[in-house]
Amino acid sequence: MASACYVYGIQSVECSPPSGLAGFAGSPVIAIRCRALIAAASLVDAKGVGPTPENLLLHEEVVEALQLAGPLLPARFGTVLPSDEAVVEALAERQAALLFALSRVGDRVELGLSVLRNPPGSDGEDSSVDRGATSFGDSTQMGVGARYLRAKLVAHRREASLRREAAALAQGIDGVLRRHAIESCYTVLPTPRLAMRAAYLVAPRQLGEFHKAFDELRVVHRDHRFLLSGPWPPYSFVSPPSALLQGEPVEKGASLLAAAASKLLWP
Amino acid sequence: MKLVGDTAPAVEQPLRGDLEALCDFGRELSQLGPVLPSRINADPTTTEQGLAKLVLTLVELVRRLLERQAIRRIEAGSLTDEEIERMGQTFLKLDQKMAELTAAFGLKPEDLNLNLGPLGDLM
Repeated sequence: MASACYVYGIQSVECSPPSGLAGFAGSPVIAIRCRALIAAASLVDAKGVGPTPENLLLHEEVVEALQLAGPLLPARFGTVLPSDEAVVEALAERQAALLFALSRVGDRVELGLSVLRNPPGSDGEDSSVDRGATSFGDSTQMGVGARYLRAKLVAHRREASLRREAAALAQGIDGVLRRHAIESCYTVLPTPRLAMRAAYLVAPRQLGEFHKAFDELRVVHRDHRFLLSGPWPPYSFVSPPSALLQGEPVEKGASLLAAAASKLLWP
Repeated sequence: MKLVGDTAPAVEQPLRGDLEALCDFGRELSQLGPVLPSRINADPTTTEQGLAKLVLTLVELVRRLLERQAIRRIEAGSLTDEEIERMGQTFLKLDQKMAELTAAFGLKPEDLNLNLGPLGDLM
């Protein structure tokens, strides 16, 4: 059976996987060293590991066991390299960035937040959403094409209105919770009902205050449902924040593409 | 770690908050797409579908961008009723054709997306 290295996480050389820690198929978790870093890994079939609930839980259990030994950069589920030489090479290439990430994460943990809006229809529909559609005139006189675009316009306005509300809510919630965290990142309205999803990098000593602030937010926002999960290994804070992650350049690029394509069709 | 919530059973869970709405949260979070990055299927028997997914996703992106641009022009009042009708019919036909092609390749409308890693989904 061809084998490969399944990587659970990266730590400094001062740490070592707890003795007896077993990974997939009972294979022992070992430390693969490269200068100041180790990768905690075990041998798996070269085909990798399937994303079953059991495998996901085992990955998480190993990562949490490693975290007890010291600061850890958790690897995403399914990180497989062909050999231990490939692991060493990967560590060598990213040594400085990984060391920086380790110092940034330290003993901090991640908390995940999801905020749910009330079910559709339970809050008043925004009447301004339909106002723009009146520029189409009498809907009974409209052709099939105009009716199609009118429906799209109404849907577009409704989504924009929802997004504005969710962005204001997310900004307010993040403003409160961020005071009790080292870093945070959030997305607004990932689904029409999910107002926001956020991750917080929190020092262990901050957990009590963070939970208190979370409970107070639930009282203030009784019209929303809140779910806080964790503490988890800091999966969302392994990579450094990047200017590339900000939406503006992407949106700007998309608008330019749309304008160019539009000119081709309707010069 | 204890589970802390309004109606929570006393089991060990790292969850806190409105636990009676867990099913609602689960339903919404499951719509966020696969956690693991999806790739074009390189299996020779399904290569056609993998490529069709990629091409149709790009076509769908352009179609949505054009539709958005048309809505902006309508909002700006720069189109006549005739132009709106003509554009609307074009988009409607394009929409129907995309639905036909998507079904023909055994794909669902939600399959037409690409994960761009840290940038999130394409659409």
